[in-house]
Amino acid sequence: MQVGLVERARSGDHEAFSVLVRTSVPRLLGAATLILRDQDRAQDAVQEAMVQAWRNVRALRDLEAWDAWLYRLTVNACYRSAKSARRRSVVELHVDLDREPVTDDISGSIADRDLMGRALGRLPVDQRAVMVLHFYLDLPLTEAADVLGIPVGTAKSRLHRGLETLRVALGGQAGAVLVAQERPE
Amino acid sequence: MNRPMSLDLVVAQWMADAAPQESADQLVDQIITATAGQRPRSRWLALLQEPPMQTQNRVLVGSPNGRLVIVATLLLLAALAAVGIGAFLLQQPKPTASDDWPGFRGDATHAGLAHVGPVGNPVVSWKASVGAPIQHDISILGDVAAVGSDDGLLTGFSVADGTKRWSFAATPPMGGPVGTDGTFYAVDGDGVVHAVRAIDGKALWASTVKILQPSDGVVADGLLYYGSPDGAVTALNVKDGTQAWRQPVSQTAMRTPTVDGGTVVAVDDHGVMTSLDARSGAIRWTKPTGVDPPGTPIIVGDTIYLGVGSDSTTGKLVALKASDGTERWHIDRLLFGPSIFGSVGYSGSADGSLAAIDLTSGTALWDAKLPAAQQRAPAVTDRIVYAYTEASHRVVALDRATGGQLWTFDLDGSNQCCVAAAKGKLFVATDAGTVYAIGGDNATIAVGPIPQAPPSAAPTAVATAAPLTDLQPKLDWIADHGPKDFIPWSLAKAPDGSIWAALGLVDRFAIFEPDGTYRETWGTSGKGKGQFNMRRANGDPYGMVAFAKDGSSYVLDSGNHRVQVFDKERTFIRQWGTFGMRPGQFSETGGIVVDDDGTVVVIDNVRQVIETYKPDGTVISTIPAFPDELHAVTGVNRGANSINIGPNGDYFLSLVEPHLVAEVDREGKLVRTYGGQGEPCALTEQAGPLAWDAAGRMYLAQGPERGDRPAVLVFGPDGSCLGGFGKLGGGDTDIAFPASVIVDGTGIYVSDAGVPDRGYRSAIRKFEPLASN
Repeated sequence: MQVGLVERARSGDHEAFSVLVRTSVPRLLGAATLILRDQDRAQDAVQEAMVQAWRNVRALRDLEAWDAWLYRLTVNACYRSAKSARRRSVVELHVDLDREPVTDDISGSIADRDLMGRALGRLPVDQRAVMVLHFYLDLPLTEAADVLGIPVGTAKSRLHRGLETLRVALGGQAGAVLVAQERPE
Repeated sequence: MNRPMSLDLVVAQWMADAAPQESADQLVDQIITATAGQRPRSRWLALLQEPPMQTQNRVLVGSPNGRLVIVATLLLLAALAAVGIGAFLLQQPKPTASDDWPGFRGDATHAGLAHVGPVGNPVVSWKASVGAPIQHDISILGDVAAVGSDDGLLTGFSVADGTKRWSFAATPPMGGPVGTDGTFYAVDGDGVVHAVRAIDGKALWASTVKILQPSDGVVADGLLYYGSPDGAVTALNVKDGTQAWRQPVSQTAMRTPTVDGGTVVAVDDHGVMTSLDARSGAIRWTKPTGVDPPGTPIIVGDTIYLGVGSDSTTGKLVALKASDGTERWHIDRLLFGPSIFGSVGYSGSADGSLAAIDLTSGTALWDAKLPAAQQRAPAVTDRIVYAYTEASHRVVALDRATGGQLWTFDLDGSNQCCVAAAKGKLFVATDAGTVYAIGGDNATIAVGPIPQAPPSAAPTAVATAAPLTDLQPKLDWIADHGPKDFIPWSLAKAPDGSIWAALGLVDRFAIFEPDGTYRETWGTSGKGKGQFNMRRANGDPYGMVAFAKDGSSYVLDSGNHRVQVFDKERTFIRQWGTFGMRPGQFSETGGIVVDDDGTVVVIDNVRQVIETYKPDGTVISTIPAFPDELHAVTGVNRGANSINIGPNGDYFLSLVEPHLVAEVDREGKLVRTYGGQGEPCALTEQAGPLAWDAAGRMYLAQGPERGDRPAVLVFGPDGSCLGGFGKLGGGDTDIAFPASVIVDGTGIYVSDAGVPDRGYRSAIRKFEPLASN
């Protein structure tokens, strides 16, 4: 069904595009919010991505690549937003996290949800993007790499570094539990 | 089970929880609206513009860099070719850039051209009701379809599924919207123009300038244009509603302007066309076109096309040079203004035809015969012509190339304006308050033969009707005193012998002594007690008064959707009625009469009922005014102009179309009809009010477009045709527009609304009674 809608949108059918917008925006907004950690900027990024998708929809060669392309547009819009935010931002506060006891089950160490949020927020945006594509949008790392236009090895590396940083921030020992487990293809 | 979790699962779970859960509807609306005004880039440009996205062995999006040189070369060649064909393309009408349908007849050129309509068999995509008649156009912007309705609402529906997105309320009735750049503009019953945001219905501004009873609006290049009954064209700034300019161009009403390329073209009620500068309103030229009454002009390239109005019995289709109004060609047929694709125009006709006309030569390519005279402006795509015909309230789709029928679709009421095509759907609204979005199943369907149904109402009836016996009675007196703006409509005689003429255009009554001496004027405009709004939704001045034997009066306050009761001293006693479709409510009243026993009777054309009330307003009965049996006889139903009670106690309804009087008994059953085609006393205009004398003779009025037939037809007690009187003219005994007739033992009273621009006066005349045999 989606392929048919994409085909209609590509032929200039705005109604079909509208249906695609309705189905796509919620998860794009989720991804953008997780990447940018700011819902207003995330909305701007998603809108920018969707407008660009409509304008350039005829560049889509493979109709089944619609979702992946939207992810790319959204991530790129997030990158631009993050870049401009950095230009605007003044100081990013660094907060010493209370260290929790080290256990193999780290779920117990994040009773405070805010802890994870803050830890993610301090990751470089390119690492957050890989993590969001992989963990939130359920993309295998090979597809995440395609979306980001980077080699798979680079994607794996970013994911690994991001997870290690998180582990430290959350009170675990680097390398003590797991390296990132790639999701099933 | 509480198992230890690995970090990646924890992160995944946290992300799932942390992502926003609330609805993204507002963002979705913003995106849809933002993109609705844009078109996707052409493929070559998009391929260049969009960075390539690849899997390991395939290019999914965009163009790899290695092809850029080739593409650039092709671009250069394409640009050269584009220059060559540019001039040709400039002459062709183009659909609106975004597949929107801004308003009446599409965009500001009124060419009626759409991107994509329904393809295949018709399928109701959705159907929605607004609860009040819709008499104007539909506007489509992005994912919102907006309609104005007689209850004063502008309602926005989702184009995709018909979900009501919002409604905006103002003084009833709400006119048809026109839209651009994410904003709808509509005029309310007070003549105030409202700007309403498409995505959420938020009011952006209301004009301080009032344009009463304006034409359909048209929007182009930052300005909104309206014609008005005072003969002016007005332009407002879309950004804030301020008046950009106002240009008086005629002594008669101006019809909907058309705009293209910095030029506004507007035509008055008699076909005098004026070309104005769109920015300044400066007049460039004015010329009579010979099309009287005219429809809406259409501009394509350097040619203006003007067809006849929907109410025409004479006229032609003309093609004029836009530069100076010089005629290029004309066709002596009653053709409406064409919807245009390429060099072919598709014109409905008062004779029931829908014709394809080669606009370069004026020759007909095909000619379909639809089963009724009344049509609305078609919408045309590259493959299909979508039209509406009043017979069975039917939408018809014809193959554009051949005129062969593709399908028909019947609606639940009459379409009073036009069809709109956009987003793969056809949008049609009815006076039953329903909005249809008709999609297609994309099936390949066979093209049928060109429809050849005979027209149901031939406009040549005037010429074929046999002459009638002239019963011209002697004139007793003529009265045209009273206020300066004296245009009498409904008449009533009070028990004290005074004659009350409803001046419906100014919401007052002019009262005359029995000898025709002007006594006084009573009433003011407004919504309060003792104030009136005598105009019904379409602007017709249908307010009126009926008297009970005790001298109390019942004013049908039609625009306020109520009945007001006054004692014989004109002290307000009570009122009843609100706008609505339930018993005791009014939607579109056509007349009021008080029976001998004091029962008040009102006909409502939209509720399609005759309702009776006790003097205190309690509903006694509600019966169908237009029973199925009547439909079977007439084929179409556009309501009644008046109601009266005959000597036998039956109700007599003066129908708008076909031109008939229907006698209906107290059970709502059709007894018989009068004045039909082929009868000696055939009506040649809409049936007007009627009355009886003591001998049981029925006096039936008909309007000014009756040709050489009399203003008042007289029937014997058995329904036989006795003759008529009142020829069209400006003489003392002539009657131009008999808006009402009452008869008693002292004589025959006829109110004549006149036709001022033809020199026919507005007056009340009293004639002596006809001889008893």
